[in-house]
Amino acid sequence: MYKKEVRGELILGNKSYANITEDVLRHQESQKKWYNAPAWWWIAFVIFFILMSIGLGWAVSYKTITQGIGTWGNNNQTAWGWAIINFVWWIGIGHAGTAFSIFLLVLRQKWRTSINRAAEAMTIFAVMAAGLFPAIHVGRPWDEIFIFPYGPNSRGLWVNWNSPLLWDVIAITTYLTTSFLFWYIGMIPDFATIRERSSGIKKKIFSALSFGFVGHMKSWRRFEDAVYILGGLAAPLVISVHSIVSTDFSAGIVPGWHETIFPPFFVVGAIFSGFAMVLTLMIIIRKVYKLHEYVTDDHLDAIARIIIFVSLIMGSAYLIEEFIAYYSANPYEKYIFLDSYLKGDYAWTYWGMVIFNAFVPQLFWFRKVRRNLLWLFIISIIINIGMWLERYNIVIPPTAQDFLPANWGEYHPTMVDIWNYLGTIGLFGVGVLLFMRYLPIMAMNELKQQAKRQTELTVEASVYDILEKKIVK
Amino acid sequence: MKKYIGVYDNDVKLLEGIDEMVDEKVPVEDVITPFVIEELLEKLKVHSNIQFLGFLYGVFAVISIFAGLYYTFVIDYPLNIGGKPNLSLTFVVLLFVGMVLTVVLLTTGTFFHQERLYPMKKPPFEYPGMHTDKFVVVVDLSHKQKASSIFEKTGAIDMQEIEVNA
Repeated sequence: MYKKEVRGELILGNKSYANITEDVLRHQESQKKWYNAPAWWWIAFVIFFILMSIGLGWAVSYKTITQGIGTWGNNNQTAWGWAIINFVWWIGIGHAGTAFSIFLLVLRQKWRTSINRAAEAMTIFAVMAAGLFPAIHVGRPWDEIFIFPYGPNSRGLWVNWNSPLLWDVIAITTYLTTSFLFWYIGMIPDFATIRERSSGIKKKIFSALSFGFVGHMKSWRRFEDAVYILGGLAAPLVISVHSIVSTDFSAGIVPGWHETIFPPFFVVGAIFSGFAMVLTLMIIIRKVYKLHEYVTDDHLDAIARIIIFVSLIMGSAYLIEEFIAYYSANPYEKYIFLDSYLKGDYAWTYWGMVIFNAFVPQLFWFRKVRRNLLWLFIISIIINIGMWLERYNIVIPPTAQDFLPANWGEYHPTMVDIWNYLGTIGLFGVGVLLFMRYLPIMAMNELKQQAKRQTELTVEASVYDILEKKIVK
Repeated sequence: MKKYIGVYDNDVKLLEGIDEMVDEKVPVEDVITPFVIEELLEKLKVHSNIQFLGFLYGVFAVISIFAGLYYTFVIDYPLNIGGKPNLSLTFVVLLFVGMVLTVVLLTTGTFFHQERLYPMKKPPFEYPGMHTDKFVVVVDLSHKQKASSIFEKTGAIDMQEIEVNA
């Protein structure tokens, strides 16, 4: 019996395989020289490049490395300030790229095909931005060798395997490596397509990038197996890495941090912010490259539905945190959750977080909102701001107002902190723009597979219809 | 080395052609497609051992990482942190993450090695569109006659002898 696919057509416009290649590569092939790009691209690139240069040049390389962490707003109370907020925020965004691509791959959700490549690229640049913060937070980056198990030190000690910070370094290195290889191996067949269609220096570059790949039948079998192994391993890795990031906090005794809910709370938060960023990026890519036949309203609708679901989990987690603080009868916990957050000094970040993450996404219950690009774009940005506020909320209030009121101190970021952050936004933006300009923004080989499946289903459906009519007659 | 190829511009026709070749016992040396065609791989019984090797890499990784952790944190660790041996749940986290890293690197290495992929490697031959929308079936020259009649019958758009670099 004919089985109807739930999601309908994922590629509109009855595309042939050649059409798919042409559409995905149109923005590249229409530019004759490597430096040719549309005006919007150059404007965005210059803005992000300036942010990156000032941020990574002045704030990171000059102020932080030559003068030290004293140039940041950290103080005795808040030893982890913007650096860790931004680290967790970027890691969260970085998670959803792979989560999006891999969970949907493992669950065989075919609608991932138009979006997975950009989501994976987003992961790489977000994790690079995230990795910068712990690297510079140590103060003397050249001493980072001591984090690695290079051998017993002068006192005969090996590294402390019990430290969540060490797990973090290993987990993030693993995550970056796995995500990069998953992304790159997935692109190799598409590089071969670009190699075939180009000439001169471009052909040489893509010959090098495609490693001479040819779609032999054996190659495709190996390719699929390798991609499934990487994907299958990266899926639990997404969960473990952000759980490990959360143990950086929950292993501490600081009120507001010492919670068993943190690992799932962090993982869900990561997926939430990452999906919002995927939505932001896909709306831009769809709009500027006119790829609405590949990133259809149904695709964006599906992402928005996932966001509703995840935002409900986020809202529940906020409520559970409040309830457990009340139920614990621990005065320190109660102070942070019931006073500081709800009505105290940090009420603005707390309520900002709740409204942006738990309430605003509920607008996605309305089909009209889910189908309106502008609303989708605005809400995706609001969620990303909300998730930044959540990380601010986790990091700052518990440390600024811990056990002894005599120890309390306010935290204010300095210009160096702010430019460190802006620098990473610049790095992310430059990375994404270079990806959009020079690399295949959609997995062409997977889109063609999808187009083939779609044709088969259409044929099956029409055969089924004909048979049904004959039977009725 | 000379080979004989038939080129299709439609995957349905390609699969018909492959069916005919299997029925007529014409050995198909290779099929080059722009994307994975599962039915084709099943028809021609194409397998790879990467998944099995991935499992072996996992076993190797778990054993060696456990041994490394045990040596550095139990046998060769001079401090007594809440009692010795210092065999903790930490090992589970590190075993998992370390196993993933090891398997990912070794599987990627295996894929590149088995495919003989390296920068600037030249493809064995190039047919325009074989990475875009053309499907190329490769057979040995000794089967040229039988193959060409099947190609013709099943709607191949081109047939020719080509030079394939080993």
